[in-house]
Amino acid sequence: MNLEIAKKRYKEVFLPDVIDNSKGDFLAKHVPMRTLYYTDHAELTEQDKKHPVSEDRIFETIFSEKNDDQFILVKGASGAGKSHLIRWISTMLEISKEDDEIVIPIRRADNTLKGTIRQLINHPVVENMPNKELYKKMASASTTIPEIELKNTIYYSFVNLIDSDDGGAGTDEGRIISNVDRRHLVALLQNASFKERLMNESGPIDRIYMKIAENKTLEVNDKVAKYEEEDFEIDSAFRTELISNGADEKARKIADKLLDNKEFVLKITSYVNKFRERVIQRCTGLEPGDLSQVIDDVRHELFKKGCSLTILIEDITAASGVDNSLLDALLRNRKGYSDKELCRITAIVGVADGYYIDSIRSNTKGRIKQFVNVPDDMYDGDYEGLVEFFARYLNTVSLETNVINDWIDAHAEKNAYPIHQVTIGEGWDEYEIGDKSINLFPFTKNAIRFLYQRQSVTQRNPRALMRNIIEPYVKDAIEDLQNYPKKRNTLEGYDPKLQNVIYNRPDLSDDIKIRLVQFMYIWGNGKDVIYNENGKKYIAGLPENIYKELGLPIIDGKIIEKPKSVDIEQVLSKDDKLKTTKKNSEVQRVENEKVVLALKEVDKWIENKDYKLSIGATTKSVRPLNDVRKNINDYLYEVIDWTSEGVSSDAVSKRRDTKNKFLVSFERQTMQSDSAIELPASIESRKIIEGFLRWEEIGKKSWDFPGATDYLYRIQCWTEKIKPQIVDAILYYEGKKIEYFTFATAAEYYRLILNGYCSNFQKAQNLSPEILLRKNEPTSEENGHVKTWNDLKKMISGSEGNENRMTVLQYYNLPQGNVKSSTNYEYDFVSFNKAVRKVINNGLVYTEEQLQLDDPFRKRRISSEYLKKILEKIDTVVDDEKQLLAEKVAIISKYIDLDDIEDEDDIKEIITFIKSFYNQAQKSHISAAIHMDNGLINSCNKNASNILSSLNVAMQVEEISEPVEALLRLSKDPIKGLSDFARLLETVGNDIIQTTAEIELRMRESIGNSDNDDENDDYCETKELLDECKTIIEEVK
Amino acid sequence: MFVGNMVTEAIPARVYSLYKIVVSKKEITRAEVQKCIEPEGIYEGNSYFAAIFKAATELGLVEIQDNIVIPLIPKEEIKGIEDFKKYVISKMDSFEGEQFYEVTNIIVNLNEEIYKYRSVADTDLLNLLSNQIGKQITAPMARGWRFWAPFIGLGYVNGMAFLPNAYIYVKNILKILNIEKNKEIAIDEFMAMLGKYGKMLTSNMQPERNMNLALSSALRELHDNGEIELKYSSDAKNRWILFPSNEAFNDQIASIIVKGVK
Repeated sequence: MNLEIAKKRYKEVFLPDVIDNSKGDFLAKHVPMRTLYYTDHAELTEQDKKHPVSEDRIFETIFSEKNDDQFILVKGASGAGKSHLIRWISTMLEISKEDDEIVIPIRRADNTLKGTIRQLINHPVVENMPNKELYKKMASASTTIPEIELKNTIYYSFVNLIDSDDGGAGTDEGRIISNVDRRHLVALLQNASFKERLMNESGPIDRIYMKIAENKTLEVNDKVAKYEEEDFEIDSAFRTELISNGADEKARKIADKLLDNKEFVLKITSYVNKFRERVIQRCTGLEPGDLSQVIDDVRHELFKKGCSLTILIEDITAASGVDNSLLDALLRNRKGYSDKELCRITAIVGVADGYYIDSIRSNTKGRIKQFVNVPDDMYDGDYEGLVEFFARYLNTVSLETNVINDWIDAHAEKNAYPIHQVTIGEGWDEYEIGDKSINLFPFTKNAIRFLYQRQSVTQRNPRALMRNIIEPYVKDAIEDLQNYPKKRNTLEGYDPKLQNVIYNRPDLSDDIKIRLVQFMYIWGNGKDVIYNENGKKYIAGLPENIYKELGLPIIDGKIIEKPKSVDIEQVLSKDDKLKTTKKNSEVQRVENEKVVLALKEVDKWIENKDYKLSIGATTKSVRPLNDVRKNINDYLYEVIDWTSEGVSSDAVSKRRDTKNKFLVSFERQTMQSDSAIELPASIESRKIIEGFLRWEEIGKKSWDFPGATDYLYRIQCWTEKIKPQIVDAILYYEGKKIEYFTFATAAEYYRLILNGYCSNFQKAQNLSPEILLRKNEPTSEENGHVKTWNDLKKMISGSEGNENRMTVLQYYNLPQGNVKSSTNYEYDFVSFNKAVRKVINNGLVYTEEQLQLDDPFRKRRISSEYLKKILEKIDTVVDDEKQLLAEKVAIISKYIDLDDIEDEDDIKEIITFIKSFYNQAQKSHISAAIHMDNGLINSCNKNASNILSSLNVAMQVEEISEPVEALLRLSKDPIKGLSDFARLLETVGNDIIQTTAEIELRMRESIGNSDNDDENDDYCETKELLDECKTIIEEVK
Repeated sequence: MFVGNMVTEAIPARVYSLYKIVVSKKEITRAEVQKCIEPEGIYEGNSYFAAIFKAATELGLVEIQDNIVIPLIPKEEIKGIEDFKKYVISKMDSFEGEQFYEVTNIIVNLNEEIYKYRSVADTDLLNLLSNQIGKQITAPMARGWRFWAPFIGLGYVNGMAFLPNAYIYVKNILKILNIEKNKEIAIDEFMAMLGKYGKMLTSNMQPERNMNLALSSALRELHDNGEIELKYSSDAKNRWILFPSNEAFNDQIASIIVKGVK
């Protein structure tokens, strides 16, 4: 390549031939077409395919006929080279034609109707003809109208024509759709949403517009100006949109009918397309016969001059709207119209296969008797031609225009074909052309073959090869040789030995590795072999200096003798061998199909930075990748010795058992990833993935498969490398160390306190870890606690409490293997003790900020949530409890002076007095005697010490402001301890009042009714007794 | 576990837990240690304590004197589980001739053949081990082995299948040996040094200086990590051959340079 010239020229040279105005470039790039088919029928038979002919032969065949009118239809797929062939014929005609032969080439140019008409009427022959008015009208056929206005005109022309139709679309074929459907279709077309859909960019209206209006781009517009099935395919989303937009009922009805009804969609598409010509004619102001008239006029004029006409139309779609009438004119045989005095005509017209089938009327088809078929895969089996095609493009891009023009001026002699001077790419492959050679930089023959085969069959035509391969690769090489080759191709069915050598080089970056693999396999021969020739070293068949030019490292390899040169034919047979080998190994390939498909996906993912790795569980081809992700996770959980890493098996299982949370996911994977580690799109990851793929698919979940050791080694090294991250992922979240054991332990302590198991402790800091390791079953509901206490106790004694307790007990348990929990407790007691002490020292109190309520793992987060629920209730429980306790104390202090109570004997003494009181009341037949409750009195007496301690607790609690400390004291249940005593005092207090009154009454009655001394004596005795009682009561008080 | 039959109950973490209890208390009886490990209040089922205690005594971690369990290794020497691992590795060769030692030596020399056995308790593997040792190796014994083999770093256990790679084991031996850094050591000398603590891994390797897979992977990993450098020399008289690899370092080893074990 001549870099300096190529940099200037590559953009213009890579324009498609049909747009390229330089005859020189066209001829310099032209590669003789050798596989054309000349037939009298449209469709090629297998027999026809056995007889390809060259472009020279076709030229001779057409132009050896001197007398008859001819119409030759050049048929082929889009981009196959029809226009190129027609242009070559045109160029050759210009060189070889006789003077009486007038040639009118209608180039595809911008491929619009306007462009076509302009080319025709601007031709010198037409310019001087008499029918000026018609030509003037035609010239204004698509006078510039604002885009939106013209598009609307096109759209509503269709609506109007359909609205006024009878369902037959003006054809003789009878009714195509029913009147009801037609009316409904009109309603649908009038719907704003549907109109918007059809008017979208690349929609049918846009396509038709592009054929009428001026084309401002240099792109080849080979989209046919018509409706396609997908334009009328309605999905449920669009139907819903129609409903929600309040669309007309008729529009909705036809939308329903179009929904998943391919046959009806086809019918409607075909029906609407019947109006296409009329719409274009209306919008351009052309009459169907206008172009036909011009052709007839030209022929007549030439007839008068004794000339004949050759008209070459590169693409009939450029006359969309008037195409059929134009074809009619071109097919008109002068022998049947002798009155018109028409000259002989040779018409060569290009048409795409699809357009021929769909858009050319059957009666027109019937009149065509000469066809040139241009195959899509022009170079199939013609690798010589393929390389020549590349070589000529690469040569042209490196030649100055004047050099090419000089060659053209000298009649473009083959022998004088100019060859560029190489300024970059010395030593790259060359293509021999005659006695000269063309440097193929930035390709090699291998690369051309590989890249060609990598194209789909429909993309192997010259235009696609130029667009998809030559242009982008040349551009990449010119712009950034140090990163060439930039494009990534997936390698399939290759020997991975060299790839492994490269991928295992620790000193190379992934980018270099991938580039080197691509280069050595695609440009080179893909083998780690070295040979010397003429003092030059060749690695993988490529000279050493090329690697240096590209900034690629040199890979060591086995030194061999230079292999025999492989010419193109041999390359072809090598391919055949490959095919045979493929057949032989078919059985094995079937077995490995999943691996191959999955790795192909992985390669795409590594090589393309914006490619998402597809790991859908339901997509057959990539399901193994989903399995790989699962298997990697399972493997890591199993092989990491968690206890050795200081990770509790409870913490592991809480993470492992959480759905959709993985240890490892893939970078840029299609499914949402929520994992500790993202496996980067790298070569190392590929090894890991491949190992697990083979483990599953070939080893059937074992490592007993060929090459397992190497895969396993990579996986083991990777495991050690990522282990710290994985361990951190279990022990931390968002940079915070997981503390769920702490919170679960605190919560468990609250459960124990509320159940009274910690009543011997005064402060949280005094609690012992060992009490957690007792049975500690929930205690009886019978107690003196307030409702809020018992409600909380009930809550934490249920399933939540049990689950929390299991967390506390299992965290430091050391089960065997992957057992989630075991009641065969084998404790890491030292660690347990240390962790619990931390909770105790913290006083069981945690603020909301300290709790890990944002832990993404629910199984861990519930410990925080559970403790939070408890902590929120503790203050209320303590307050309620304190209040009730205070009430009990108030009752007691109403009857006794608490300062006088020093020990339990003081309490027992009071109880004795109370007992005496009731005994006396019985003796004296005082009504209070009936309230004597020996059970209560004895119970109080028996629990004197408890009453005393409860009184003490009550006194202390009053002074304690710290809720957990208060809770611990209250867990002794002082309310219960004081309740009976308070009740007893309250009863006796009331009885004393009542008794006093009763005695006074008795006294009054006794004094007022008695006159004798005996009675007075009795009175005195009674009075004395009462005084005595009074003294006792006073003492009791 | 290490003397006589292998057992499943005495897993490494439990033995280490026992040692930690003993060193954390001034005086503790065997019964008190058991209460710590198997808390009475919550414990259900059969006690594993005897097996755990036996393994700890076999390893020379603790012993009973005057009814008190005393530590034989000061707590400063075993500060964490990594020290514990290193300690256990250092003791392995003292169990030569015992079941654990013999089974390990056979398994590490099975090389890729081990992949055929999906479980270390696979009947065919048990038969093979029993035949070679001359004593019946049962599934529970093999299941007990599977806890200690990965712990001392001879490989990984994935779904009960053993995947040899003695990286951790060899790394710890290198730490114990404290070999001078950056000094080139002839492979024979290196192998002799390794044999001081790693005989269980290195003995009975295939003839002609062929290393087994477990040791080869270990050396390759150390080499790939830059912890050691494996060197090939065409002049060297004695070279050792790594277990073949298509991808990793595969030259015959003439000497080794210890760069610094992580």
